[in-house]
Amino acid sequence: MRPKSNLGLGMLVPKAIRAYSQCGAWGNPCPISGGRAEINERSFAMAKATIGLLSRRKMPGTSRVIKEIFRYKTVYLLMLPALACLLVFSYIPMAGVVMAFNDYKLGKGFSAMFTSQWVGLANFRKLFSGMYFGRIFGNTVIINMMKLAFGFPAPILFAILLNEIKGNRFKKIVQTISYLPNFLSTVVVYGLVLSMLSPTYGLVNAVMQKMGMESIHFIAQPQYFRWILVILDIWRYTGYTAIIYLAAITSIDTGMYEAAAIDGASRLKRIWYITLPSISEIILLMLIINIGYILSGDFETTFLLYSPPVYPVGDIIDTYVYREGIINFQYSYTTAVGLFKSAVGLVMILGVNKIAKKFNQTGIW
Amino acid sequence: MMIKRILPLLLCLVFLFSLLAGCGQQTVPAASTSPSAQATAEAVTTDASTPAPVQGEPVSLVLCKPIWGDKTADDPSVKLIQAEILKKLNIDLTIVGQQNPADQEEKPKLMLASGEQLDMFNMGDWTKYMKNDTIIPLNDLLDQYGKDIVANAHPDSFRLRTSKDGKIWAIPYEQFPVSVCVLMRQDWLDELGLKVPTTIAEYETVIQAFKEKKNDQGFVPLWAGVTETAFLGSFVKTADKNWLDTDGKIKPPFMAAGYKDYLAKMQEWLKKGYLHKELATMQYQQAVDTFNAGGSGVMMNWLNSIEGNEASLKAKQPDGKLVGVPPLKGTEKGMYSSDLPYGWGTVITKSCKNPEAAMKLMNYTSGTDEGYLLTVFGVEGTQWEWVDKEKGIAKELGDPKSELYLFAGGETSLTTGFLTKFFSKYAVSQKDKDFMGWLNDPTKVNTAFPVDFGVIYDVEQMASKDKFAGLDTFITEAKWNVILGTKPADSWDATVQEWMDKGGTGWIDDYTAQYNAAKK
Repeated sequence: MRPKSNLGLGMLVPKAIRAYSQCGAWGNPCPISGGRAEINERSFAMAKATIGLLSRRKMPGTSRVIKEIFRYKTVYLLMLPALACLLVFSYIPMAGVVMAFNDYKLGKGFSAMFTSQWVGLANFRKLFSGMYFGRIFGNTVIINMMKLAFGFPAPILFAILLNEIKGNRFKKIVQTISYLPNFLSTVVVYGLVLSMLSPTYGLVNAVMQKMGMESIHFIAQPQYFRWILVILDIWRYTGYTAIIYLAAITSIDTGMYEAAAIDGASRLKRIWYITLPSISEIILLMLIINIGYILSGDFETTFLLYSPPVYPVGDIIDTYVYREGIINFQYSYTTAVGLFKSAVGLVMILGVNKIAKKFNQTGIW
Repeated sequence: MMIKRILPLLLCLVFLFSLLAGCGQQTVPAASTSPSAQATAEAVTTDASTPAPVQGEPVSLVLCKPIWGDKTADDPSVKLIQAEILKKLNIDLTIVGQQNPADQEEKPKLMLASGEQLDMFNMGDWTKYMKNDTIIPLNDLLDQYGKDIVANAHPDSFRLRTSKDGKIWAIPYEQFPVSVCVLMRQDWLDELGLKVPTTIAEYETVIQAFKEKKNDQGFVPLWAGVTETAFLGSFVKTADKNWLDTDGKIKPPFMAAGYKDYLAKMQEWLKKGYLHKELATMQYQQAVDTFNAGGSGVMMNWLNSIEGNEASLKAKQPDGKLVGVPPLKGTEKGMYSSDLPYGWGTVITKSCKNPEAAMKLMNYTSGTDEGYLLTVFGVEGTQWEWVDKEKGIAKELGDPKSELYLFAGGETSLTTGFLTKFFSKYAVSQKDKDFMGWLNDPTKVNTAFPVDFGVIYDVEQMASKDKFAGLDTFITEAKWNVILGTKPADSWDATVQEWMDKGGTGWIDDYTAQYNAAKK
């Protein structure tokens, strides 16, 4: 099956595009599937341009670049909003990191961001010497590692299972239902959690009480709190994230499955030897992206669900910063925390990318 | 072919323009309401206090204030008042409701941080806004446009809102000295043949009966720490406020003798179901809904009016009636502490483009009879009418389910600040007047101002200020550990010692130093 456009995905996974283009996805006759795809030179050229952009080894000279840009101006034009977005929301605000090193006062206006009293590393010292720095740092990492350990494989597994479903209608229904939770607002999710787990009117406790068990106030118990966050994360994002893996799986040459089936490979073996290796690059990419967010918790969900009894296990950097920084006008302090998180995220991304390249000969750049 | 070329181009341009549009600043908050700005200023003359109508384009002002109960800033009852303000003052007032009693200033703080239009807001500690340069001094504006407020406010009110350099930073939000009270279902008491409890033992008997006969789920928390406000005075002489130890040092409530007994009782009550099972996590609206749905027969609330709370209850439980419970006698006499009128008030932001109009609005709503009646009771003849004008007794029109019903006197009121003069002059019913009179009669309801009442602490100048957030987290967690039964109440002395070791000694020294300096 040929997707209508793979450009977005292709920009993320150049190798997937290359593999795809070789087997007919971009219009080349595919030797295995019978070459039913019609020749579409424009699509093929666009993919080539994208691959060319992403591959440093093939970087042409300056005049060639200009020529290429002119030639594929529509592609570059399409990139423009995304680039503008990146510039406006990610690069220009970077100038604000200077606030981490001064004592910014809100009412002094925008210019005070650069003219406030210079305090050097005082805000960082305050963060690292904070009574609960170790705990909030630990909680953030532990919760994110738990999400990574259980939440990261979930969409991969789900996408593989979904791909194995033969009935198209059933598959679509399952897919739609599974990615709906992603579109629910966090407040609605909070309401749903309460209606499930409340000790007075929650479904889970009602069942437990019917079975003669004592009701439990789950969201106020430290031993359950992190698991609630992890389960919620899996429930909310598995279906949606699975779309990325499903798209990658769709791009796998069906001929390989057919050949493997003729050779007597079981379904499990086909998944193990064909599906997983074929999507390994996108798995790696997603892993590296996720690792980059290791210090960024799900603020909204945690903030709505946590309470003082679960601070020891649930208070994360973001909630602590909101409580102690934003609400108390300590913007320089919160900027310092943000900078620290970004620095750790960058180190993690670089580290994992390097490890991935060492073991797998591939990384995201 | 041409279409294929033009379409992506058009798409790109649309994306780019929407992006640029998205980057533009939103001037009026989305979750707010404003009357139609189409109306023109009309001359409406009622009495001498009515301001002269202003012609021309309406001035747009955004006010952030607590709006509790079932009302929101979008209610037709609220919009009606906004329309009147537009007519009378030519001010297009937008109300942004703040509904988090745990931190009533969360919304304005976030609005200030995000750069949204905010001209005035209610707050409890003007010092931090002054230090962050987010509000403006009001002396000149008061001289020119705020004469009615100055004439009618309590003399102490402005002193408590004035910095050392003589600048006034807020319009007072005066209230009666006691403005909190435990409320109980009078109809349940009557049905079960019980009397309003006056001691902890009687209270336990009542709640046990409520549990058995009315399926009561226990005391519901409307804000964090409400159980301290409600019951600590039964175990600690100085209730939930700072106190002066014999060593001459200011100490926090949890260090007072009797605090451990209070925690032990709360632990026992939670176990027995006298406190709601979800006490630790329940949020304001859930607590209100639980109470109004008949899930609980007892709660505590801030009060400007018992009628407002009762009306809210009656909307769901038509036979519901409320009664105030006096401070319960325990190991101590029982006390509802008071620190009002302290810092609460309304401020004008530095970003306000028309501070003169803001002050005119404040003067009208806070300083005049007409403004008070309009913003607290609503539009006369539509939302309320006089029962006894001489005594200042009014009655609301319609029933609590009516769209225009305002729960007058409750926190829905749109006034920018309360002055006791008007507050004690008018009531929405005789019952309300009697209730507030009872609550503030020291022979019936024991109360006291804290020892450091009126001292304006400057935390920024405190040597150990960086440890305060951690100390607060530590003690909050420790309290919950005991209440939830994770730790025994007997461990409290060790907890207090740990708090001292972690930096609490610095807290005590810093607060004591500023207290002593202020007393001099």
